[in-house]
Amino acid sequence: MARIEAHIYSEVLAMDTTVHVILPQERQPYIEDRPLKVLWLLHGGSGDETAWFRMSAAERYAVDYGIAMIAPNGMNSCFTDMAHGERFFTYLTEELPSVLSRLFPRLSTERSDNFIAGYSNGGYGCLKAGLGCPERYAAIGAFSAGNKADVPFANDGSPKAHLRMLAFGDGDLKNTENDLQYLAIQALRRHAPLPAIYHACGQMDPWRDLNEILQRFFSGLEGNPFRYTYRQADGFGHTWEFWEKELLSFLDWLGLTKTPGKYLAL
Amino acid sequence: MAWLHVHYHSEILMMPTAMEVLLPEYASGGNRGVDTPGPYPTLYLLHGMGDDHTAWMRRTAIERYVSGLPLAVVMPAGHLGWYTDMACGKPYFTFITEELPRICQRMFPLSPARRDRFIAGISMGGYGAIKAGLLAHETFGKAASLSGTVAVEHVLDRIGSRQAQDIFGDLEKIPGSPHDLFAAAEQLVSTKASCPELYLWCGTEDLLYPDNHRFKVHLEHLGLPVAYEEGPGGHRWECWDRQLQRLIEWIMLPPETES
Repeated sequence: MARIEAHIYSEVLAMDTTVHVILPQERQPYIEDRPLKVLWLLHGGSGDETAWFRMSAAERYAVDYGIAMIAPNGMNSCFTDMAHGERFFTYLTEELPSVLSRLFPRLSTERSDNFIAGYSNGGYGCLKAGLGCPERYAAIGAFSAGNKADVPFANDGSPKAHLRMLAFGDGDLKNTENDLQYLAIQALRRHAPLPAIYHACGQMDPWRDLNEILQRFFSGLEGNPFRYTYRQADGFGHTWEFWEKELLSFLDWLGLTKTPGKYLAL
Repeated sequence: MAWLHVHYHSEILMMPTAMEVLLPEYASGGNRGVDTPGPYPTLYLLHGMGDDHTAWMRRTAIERYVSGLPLAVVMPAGHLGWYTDMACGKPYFTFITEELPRICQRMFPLSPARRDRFIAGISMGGYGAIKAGLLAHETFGKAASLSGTVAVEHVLDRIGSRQAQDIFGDLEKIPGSPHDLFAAAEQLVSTKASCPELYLWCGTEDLLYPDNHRFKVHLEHLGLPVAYEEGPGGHRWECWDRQLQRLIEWIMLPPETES
């Protein structure tokens, strides 16, 4: 396996940024020429591109399952095109896939090989990316994820309110591009290929109510067009123990299989 | 330019190791990328004794010198192995000349053509680069040395005999062996194989200057393609940072002959 810290220039962000890439390395001679499946991993509100690899054993799972992992930095944007700030959604869903497929030719660009997952604000971000760009991702793994449009906003001058203002402005998000339900309905109306959704929340998560609002919405869609699965985990809160467990559950849920010994590991 | 810190696994060295990589970023607009998509020609750049894979990035402005060029730069870690298949140690020569190019061509958009593969280094890395050029002549289109330890018998001026034996084996048998670059050059000529274009530079105040000059005369006498330059300066990064810019110009020149 190769772990790569890549410093790239983003034209969309108009700045240098860092993205972490895990590439499974097979043994020589290289026989298989199949492109690597890709899991995009988004961090939460206080994280960055290193979060998944520092706080979980994600790299070990990349080797076990023979899947590439890509973790970009979205700063405090929730991976949106910010109201006051940079266009992280466009960076994540348009520019980065094309930049990385050129730097690392083994990455598959097929929709069926691309999955996106995240926790907390990154859980919202991965749902937004998958629902907003359903032609790019085959499946979404959202852990401890609510819909920002379901959170009433009152500008109380707190640091949290300030961050919300920067990312989303101060208006109501219902029926905007930042509303997951709106994006889901738009995708349904376009008859686009829809991503499958795996959603999980800890029973002790302080924002469980927001997760459950989303769960009721997707569970209420006739015919379950997103193949939506919701799991509540007893005894878990808004923690890395939970997100790591769910990362593994998501990989299994995708139907990926382990390939012991095929890829080089530490 | 994308700057990559890469932690990866070497089967040949039987351990994880690291490299720094500079890759052109293909961009349609802006002034930060290049306007040609890959695969790109590649310069393998070797560090000297006591340094590691980060030396070139930290001690020179290499990223500035290659920005805008359709050239990838791979800076591997060669530890204290003299880029040699060690008598008692690890096979660094095979690593540098075989496994590393295969890994990099697999991982990044790099050209697999000999004429697009270059190797260069300073000091111990200069020895390694010229050794790779002469012995793995089918792999590299150009090989260059800055202040290289080209007369390997003088390795004992720099390291103890125990360490030297671990690397090169019986020190009495070095002269005339593949470790001896003078002999390796003669051997290459005798096989009539195509020799990579060679480049040598050494500072005139460097203790290695007489050896480098002597090696240049030897290569010219054998009729091998060598570009030679010298200038004021010692065994110092100030010189290598300056000379690196010249080296990159030479790397980017079209090949003298197609082979």
